[in-house]
Order: sequence, then C-alpha cells, then structure tokens
Amino acid sequence: RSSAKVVAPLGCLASRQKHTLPDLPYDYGALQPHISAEIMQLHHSKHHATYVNNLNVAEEKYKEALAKGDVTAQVSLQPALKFNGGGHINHTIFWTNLSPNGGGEPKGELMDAIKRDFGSFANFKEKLTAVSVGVQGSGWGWLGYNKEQGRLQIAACANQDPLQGTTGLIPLLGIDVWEHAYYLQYKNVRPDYLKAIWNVINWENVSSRYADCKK
Amino acid sequence: MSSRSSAKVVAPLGCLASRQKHTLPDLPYDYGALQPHISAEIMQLHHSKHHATYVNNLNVAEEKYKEALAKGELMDAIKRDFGSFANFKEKLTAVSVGVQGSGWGWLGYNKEQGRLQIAACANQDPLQGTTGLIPLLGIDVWEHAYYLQYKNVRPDYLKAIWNVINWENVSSRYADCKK
Repeated sequence: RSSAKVVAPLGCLASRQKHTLPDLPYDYGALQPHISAEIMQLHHSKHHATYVNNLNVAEEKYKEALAKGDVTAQVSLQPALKFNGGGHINHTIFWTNLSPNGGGEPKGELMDAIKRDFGSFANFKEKLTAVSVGVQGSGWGWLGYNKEQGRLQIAACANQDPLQGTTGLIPLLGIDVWEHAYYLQYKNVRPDYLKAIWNVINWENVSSRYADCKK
Repeated sequence: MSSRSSAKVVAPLGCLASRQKHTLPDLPYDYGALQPHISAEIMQLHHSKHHATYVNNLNVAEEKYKEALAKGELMDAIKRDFGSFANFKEKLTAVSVGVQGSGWGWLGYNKEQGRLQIAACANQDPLQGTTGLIPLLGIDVWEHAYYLQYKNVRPDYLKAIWNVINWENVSSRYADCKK
C-alpha cells in the first residue's frame, strides 16, 4: 500500500517529504460491477503509483536545477512536473470521488447549486457525461467551482493537466477518461463506462469539496 | 493458331514505381510451322511452358530484387541519419514510450532536408498535416493499442512490436518519398 517517507536532508538541500501513493479508501473490488477490481488494482497500484514515483524524481531534479540556477533544465523538467504532478493530484481526488456506497443524487447546498447552474441534476449529469465522452485522446471530465464567478462549471482537461493549475477552477468531481480507466471492462465503449460510473459517485465527498471552496 | 502473350502494364501499386513486367513474346508462326524439322509438340511445350516459366520466374526475381534494393536504401538512410539501426530503434522506442497521453511515434521523411526524422504526435494528429514530415512508420501508443495485453507496461508492447514491422512497406514508402 502506501508509506510515508521522510527524506533526510542532503547537504544544503532542505529536507522534504516525498509524495506518496495514498491508500484507496475501499478494496479494489468494492466498486464492482461498475468498475472492475482488475481496473482498480492496475489504476491505483500501477498508474497512480508511477505518477507518484516519477513526480518525486522530477521534483528531485527540479530542486537541483533550482539550486544550480539552471533555467534551461527547469523549463525542460516542467512537462514532467505537469504530467506527473497532475496525475498525482487528479487520481488522489478521483479515489475520494468514488465509493461503494455512492450513486444516487447529491443533497443540500451542492444540489441547490447544481440546479441553479445547470437547470436540473439530469441536465448536469448529461452535460458532464457528454463532455467526458467527448474528450479526444486522454483526459478528464470535471465538475469544478469557479470562485471568481461563484458558480459551478464543467470542463475537460487533456492528459493529466490539473484542473486548478490550468483553468483556475477548483476540482470537485473528476471523471478519468484515459483508456486505462475503463478499457479492460468496457473496451472502446466509453459511454457505457460513463453510464456505470454514476453508480459509484461519492456525493458526500463532492459536497464537502464544494463546502470547502466556499469558505 | 494462337497468339499468345499479352503485354501487361502493371498498375502502379501505391508507392512502387510502375514498371512493365516481362512478357512472353508471340511466336511469329504457328507451332506446327517448322515441321518436319522441329515437331509441333516440341514448339508448343518449348514456347508456352519453358519460355513462359522463365518469364514468370524472372518477374518474381526482379520483384524481390527491387524490394531488396529498396530495403537496402532505407537501411543506408537509417545508418546515415541515426548512426546505426540499433540507435534508430532505441530512439523511436523512447519517443513512443515517452508520449504523454494518447498519440503516435513516427519515423518520417523530411523532404526539405532530405533526411529521416523521428517525431511524436498527440492524439490522432496526422504527421504530414501537422509537421510536414512524410509518414513512413507509425507506432500507435494510445492505450487501446496495447492495454488488453500489456496493461500499463507500454515498454513491453514496444519491445514486441519490432517483431512485426513490415520493412518492405516502410522501404517502399521511403522509395516513394524520394521520387
């Protein structure tokens, strides 16, 4: 599973904690039949773990480049930071967005906001589904919060581009539409994966993220 | 009485240069015309079987020779532009493995500079349309291209795919570029 590691100070470099793979809040098989255990295991223990490891490596190199004042190296490392950092951020959110006790509809303030900003829950669900299905290539569909305008907003991001880092929207609910998120079970039929995932959305988590935004 | 051979122009096959195959020439007289000195039976077999077989086999051999020449040219270009085949293979593998997200690794031809070039494209961006390079060999690294078999281990898929590259096809695409 995961382990917290503190890296001892290396000479003049500040000591820092490496990023670690967060534990999954439920068993690999807990989201079946909607998302298979095989997918969950590969997705968490291989894909997310790789983003974590590669982020740590990239940060280590970036730290050296900063120390040396090597701007060229810094710039050349930025794609790796964006990709692996985004991957770590996105998946960390994603695991909490899902739950074996999920599904149904949200309540309270989040539901009110959804109705206000999308007309109805059905409208919102249809729109986020369409945006997620429509991502060309690898990416994510997102429900985000636009703090400036005080409203919910749906967006898509390519690859592992983190929502907040690239759009400013605060991530509430992410739908991973990289093929590794569904292919073993749904093959090329991404819409079937989308239909299924609504059964395991953890509305408590999405609601508490929303509540946090508005503080 | 039979007039035999037919001249065939082989329609250009995509990138292969059009060329006339060799054909069996007509006999200028009937099979029996040289009797009693050379029998009709001999003339028929000699012309329609023996000579015909030389024509067919020559065409086959020339085709293979042309392919070998083409492969040779591509190999020369690879050595010239990448140092060695191993270097080229390593580079295209690294570029393909390194694609972030969905995309393709490509061996392309840079017509302006007259050299081979390796490139990656995102999603389904076509190589020529977006970079001007002429596509010779593409490696699909969208997850759907390998996930069911290799799961997240894209490098294993890359290792395997080298076993099924059609070098004849790549060579003939290269030959076509240089016309």
